[in-house]
Amino acid sequence: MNKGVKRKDHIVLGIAVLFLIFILFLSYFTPIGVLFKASNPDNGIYGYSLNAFVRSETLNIKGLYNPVKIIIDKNGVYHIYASNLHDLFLAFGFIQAENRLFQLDLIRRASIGNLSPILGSSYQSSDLFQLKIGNLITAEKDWNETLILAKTNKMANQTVMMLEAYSQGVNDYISYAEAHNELPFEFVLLNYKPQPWTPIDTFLGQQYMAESLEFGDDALILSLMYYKMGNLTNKVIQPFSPIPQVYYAGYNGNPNETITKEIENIWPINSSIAQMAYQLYNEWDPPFINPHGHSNEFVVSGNKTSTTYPILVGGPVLGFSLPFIWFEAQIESPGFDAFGVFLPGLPIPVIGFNQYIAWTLTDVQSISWGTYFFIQTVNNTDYYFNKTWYPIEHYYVNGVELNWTNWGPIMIEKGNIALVMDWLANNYSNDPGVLLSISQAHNWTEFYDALQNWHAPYQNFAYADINKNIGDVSAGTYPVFSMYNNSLPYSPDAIMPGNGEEFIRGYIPYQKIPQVFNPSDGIIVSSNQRQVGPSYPYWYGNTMSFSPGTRAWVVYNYLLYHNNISIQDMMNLQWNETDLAAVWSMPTIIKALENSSNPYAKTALSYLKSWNYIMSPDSKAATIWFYIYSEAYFNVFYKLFNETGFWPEFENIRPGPAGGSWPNTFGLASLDEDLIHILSTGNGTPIYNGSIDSLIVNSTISAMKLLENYYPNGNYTWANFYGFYWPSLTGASALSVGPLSGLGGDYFTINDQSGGGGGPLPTSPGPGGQSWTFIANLKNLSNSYGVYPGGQSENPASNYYDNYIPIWIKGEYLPLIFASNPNNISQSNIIATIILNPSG
Amino acid sequence: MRDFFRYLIVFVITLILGYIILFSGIWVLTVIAGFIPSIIFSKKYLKALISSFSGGIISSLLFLFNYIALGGPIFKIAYFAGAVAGLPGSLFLIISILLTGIYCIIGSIIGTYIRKII
Repeated sequence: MNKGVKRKDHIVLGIAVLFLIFILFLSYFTPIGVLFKASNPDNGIYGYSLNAFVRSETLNIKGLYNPVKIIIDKNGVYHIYASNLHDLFLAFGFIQAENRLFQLDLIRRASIGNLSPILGSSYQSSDLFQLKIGNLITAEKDWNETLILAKTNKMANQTVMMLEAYSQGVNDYISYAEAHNELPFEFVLLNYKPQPWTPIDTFLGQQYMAESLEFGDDALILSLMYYKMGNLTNKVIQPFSPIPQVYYAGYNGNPNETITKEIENIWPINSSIAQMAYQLYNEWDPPFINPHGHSNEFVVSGNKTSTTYPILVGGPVLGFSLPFIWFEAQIESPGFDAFGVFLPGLPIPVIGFNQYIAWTLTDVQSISWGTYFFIQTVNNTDYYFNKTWYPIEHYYVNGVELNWTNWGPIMIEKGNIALVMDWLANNYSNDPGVLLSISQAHNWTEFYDALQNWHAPYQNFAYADINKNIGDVSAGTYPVFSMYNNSLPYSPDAIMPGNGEEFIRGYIPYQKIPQVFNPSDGIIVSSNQRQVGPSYPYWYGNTMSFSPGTRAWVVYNYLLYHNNISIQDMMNLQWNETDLAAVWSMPTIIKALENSSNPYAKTALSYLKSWNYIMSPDSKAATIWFYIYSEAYFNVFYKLFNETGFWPEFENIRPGPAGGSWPNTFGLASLDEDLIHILSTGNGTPIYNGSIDSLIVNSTISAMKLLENYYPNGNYTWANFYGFYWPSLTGASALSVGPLSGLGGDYFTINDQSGGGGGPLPTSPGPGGQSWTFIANLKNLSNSYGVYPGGQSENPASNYYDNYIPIWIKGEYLPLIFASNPNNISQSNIIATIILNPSG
Repeated sequence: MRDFFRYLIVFVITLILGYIILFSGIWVLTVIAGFIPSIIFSKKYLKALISSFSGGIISSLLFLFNYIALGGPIFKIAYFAGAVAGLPGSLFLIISILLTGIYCIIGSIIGTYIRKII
């Protein structure tokens, strides 16, 4: 050894080597390693910063046949011009992934039940639930069925082409992002990489949206109510709404007697089944599913508009998040053009327009959300149906065994009794293919024919075209139930016997499902209210799932009594804040308060007497009304639940006033309709047998005391209780927006924040609202308007992360730039141009 | 004076090598950036340590500056990533800069030691 080396040198070297080992140990074997990995200057979080700004560039990507031109307009909207459909969908996949890759991955994971590996054990129960309901099983079946059909069926053939091209585009971006270290930082922080996208993932997205829109456990609740309340249940959960309704598809006559009896014919369950139903109710745990059921669509024909052409308005209410659920784009290739909003994983607009037609969607919310429950006899290997034993189908997903009978997945099993779910979304439905066909439609016939293939989720498709036609179809496959012995079927709104005595005989013929074309009054309004009246000759569900119909009534009456309606009028109508429940209830409330000498009642009366029923942010009367209504709700129904023994046995089942606007409650439209009926008529029998005047006064006193408690200075304007909130999908508050006030409204108004456990408590705003405010001008579709409250990019450092929110929160719109030729977009409207060239 | 130039060279070579090696994405390899100049020029640990550490952190700074030059808002990204991770965003930046320096120090100590024994 060199004599210049001393003991000190060995020590220094030893320390250095040990320190290196220590750092490597931290990097690879401890949680701190993620921090080191994220801090890597090259492939840590910083590369994602280059994704944050929009830039003109030329890229070479795999799979393209020809170059594709993409223009980004000044609002951040993408306009994609390709020479063929394959390249169009491939380019769209690339662009959507560039803006939403983490969201894409998160939604497919949520759908399949695979969140806990990345987000932790707190997601294990929701993962198991997602596995149980069968999203992955159905998505795989859907894709395989589409592949088979593609050999003979044009729609299926186009679907295969579209989804394979789209998947290639997404995967091209994943490759690009990995090569350039531009993966969203969530992947780095969660220490995993995205798997390649496949068409099955698009069908998983379809399942997830079906789950968001048409999926529910109402039938369990109804059975449990009947178990405790008996026939009183049918007075609380009424077959048809007790308050005025707009049935867009008609059937306004007297109730069909047979159907009414079927709705009221609830199958009695025993205590063992009741416990199973309650257990499943408590396990009902879909992740990231926000409140639903408050959407609006209305169309008015040209003979009522100032343009002499139809105007179509869309306002689908969905849960808010950042990144937002929608992505906005125009996709264009020879013979094909469409503009609209796209869901994650879907390369075709769900709502939008082409050169000929415009369309928008709302949720149908009929027939128990398309979710039926049966009690079936099973053993370890077989299930019993129609006097025969059949083998149970076993699936193994992520290490979990899933068992299906002929109805669907076994959700709960005790001994030889199984509670089985038949969810319509588990049947085959090629929604991407239908949406593609709609986008290609030139007229009502093509639009209508395409929708015949839409099976789930049930959606109202409003329509208008440049030839001045308007229409609506509540598309979906609606089952018709029968009994083996030809007796009256048990209500499918509740749990049914599943051993074969009750079965699905067939489906309502497509020509008979709710629909209308060019109605004589020139008005179509479909805002989640029941689409058909009581004389409809098919079972179509009770009042549990449909919205109370106040929003539809406000819109319909405006359109009915106005002519020369302009685009601006439609915009104003979309943000109308009139609470019709208040309009109907207030005479009874004021009369009751006038007879009271209580000082709280007198204070409330002084505000309410001069109120215009508008839920405006600066109104104190609006707050007072909402609290009186809520207190009355608690006083009526919570009293009823306790008296009948429904509580405490099933105390986790807590409906809440105004569509579940209160924290830890959910919406049950039947109860809101009952209460509005009670308050508007002054008659509570048989639900509430006490004095209605006393109910109102007592509710007012407790409401005013609560408000006094919240705001001793008396500043309880509605803005303190009603606001909007955009939670980040990451859960980080720094990436969330809100609460923001500025818009008014409530559950009964057109602009509904969608309640669902948010307000009306101070600082607890709702996480939803009209997710895409859309006005299609059929005189000149290039002069249409729309905005969604979010931003195109999921990158929080991007200027396009939440840039639409300030516009939306003011009730304003953006003009939609729609140009069949990219040269027709003026330079002043362009912020960047991307050219995608075929590589190799 | 000769020492000053000696360690200036160590600093410059560490900086250049560190900058280049960072492109590999294998962060630990920046040990080499400290090692090579030290094995050639370094005789004293403290001076080697200071010059290689300086070279390392400046190579990281230059590397991060690339993103800024290209328009990448790295401070915002660090802030938001920190918010998601429940940490101050500046922690990412501090680690990004310091760890390169530390790797270079380790390389430089090993380099100096080997120079001493050969």
